[in-house]
Amino acid sequence: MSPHFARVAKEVYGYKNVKYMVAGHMTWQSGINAYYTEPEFLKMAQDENLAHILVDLRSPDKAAKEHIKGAVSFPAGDNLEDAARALSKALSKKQKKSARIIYYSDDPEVAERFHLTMRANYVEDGYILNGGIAAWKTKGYPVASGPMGDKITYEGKTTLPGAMTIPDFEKIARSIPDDTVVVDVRSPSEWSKTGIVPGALLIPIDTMNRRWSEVPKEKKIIVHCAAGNRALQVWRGLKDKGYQNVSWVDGKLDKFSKDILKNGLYGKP
Amino acid sequence: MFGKRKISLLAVGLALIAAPAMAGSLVASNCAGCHQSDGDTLWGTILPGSQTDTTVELTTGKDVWKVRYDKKSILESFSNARELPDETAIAVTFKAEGVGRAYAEEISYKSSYDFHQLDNVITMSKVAQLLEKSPAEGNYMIVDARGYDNFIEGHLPNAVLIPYYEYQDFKDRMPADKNTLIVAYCRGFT
Repeated sequence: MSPHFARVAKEVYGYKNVKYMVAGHMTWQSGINAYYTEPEFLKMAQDENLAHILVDLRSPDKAAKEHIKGAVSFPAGDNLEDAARALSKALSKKQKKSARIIYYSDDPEVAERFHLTMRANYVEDGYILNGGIAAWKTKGYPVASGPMGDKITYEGKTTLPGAMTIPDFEKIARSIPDDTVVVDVRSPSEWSKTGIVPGALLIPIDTMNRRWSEVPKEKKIIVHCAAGNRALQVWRGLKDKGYQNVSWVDGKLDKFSKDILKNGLYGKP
Repeated sequence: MFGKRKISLLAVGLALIAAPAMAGSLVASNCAGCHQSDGDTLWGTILPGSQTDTTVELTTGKDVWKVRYDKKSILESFSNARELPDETAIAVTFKAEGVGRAYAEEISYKSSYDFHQLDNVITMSKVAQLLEKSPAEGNYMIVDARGYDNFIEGHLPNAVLIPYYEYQDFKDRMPADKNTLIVAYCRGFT
């Protein structure tokens, strides 16, 4: 995806200095690096009951006056290390390993340093709310007021809306029922490299803009790609276009049983 | 998300108006750095929306060629022009069939794999160094080439969203200065 974009930037648009980061966002995120989430995502997490822990790093006074609903108060104060330690004590072992933790402050530097301190010492994941509570309000999202707790709960779904696991997809892909259509949104070169699910509708994501109408509206739709990113985008596009019954496969096709993928129209695997 | 069709259609319109009816040039200027014409090959990009089951239009920037293909044409790593995105760089070995018209003996295109070379790569630590300055100070732009849902969930500092599969609709986010360092990233190399 990024090499493709880099090629276009260079060869079609004539940018002279174009690079791409092979490591990708997952490797970046797994290191001790700043990583930002957007207000739109937090709103979706609230609306869809997606499990997350929201941490307000501002002073208790400020936080009580106005905060994002569901947040717990852990003031960063003057000593970031102490504050991070206090938060880590409130987290369970499991939460430290896998919870989606989102921090916000009105000072971006404080939020970033706090996140990095937590990542370096206590937790395996974490996000900074981009633009803090100000950006949240700019989007027109509601704020709450009143006393806040520091007791952490982590409840709700842990999978994104519409997501289907690889094992569930395998069951369907072995023999696609009549009421279901599997859409493969990878590129032709990937189809020939790995093979395709027999009977899948083949539409590369970068041609989708002109081919939406080929996806039948009255059927159950399952979108898949190589790792889940592109499938998620097409899932969103279909939902926006009024498709009712759509899922996307969240996981790597590498993990998929090799015997299901067949040559189809495309030479080997 | 996938909702800016007006803009792409407008771009098609402009391209058609800008292109003269007489086709003469065989190589697009951006391709000419590496490819010279041998008289039998067209080098250019796919005119947005021109892909059909039997034809595809290629623009060299100056001229537009309407290229016909059939079962006898060799299509390298694809089976139908509709599988190729707008503005894909393609090479067509052709026979002329009149002004601006050609029959394709062979069509090949560049996939992202062809761009996977060491010269084009930047390491994570170099990116971390870049981020110590603001994009304006460092004259760089970090591009998240994934999609909207991926981007809002989590992204690198200072990243700008330009989904690789609909970059035509996000052209206005690109910097005016063609020397700006553009750093793209996605999930990892795919």
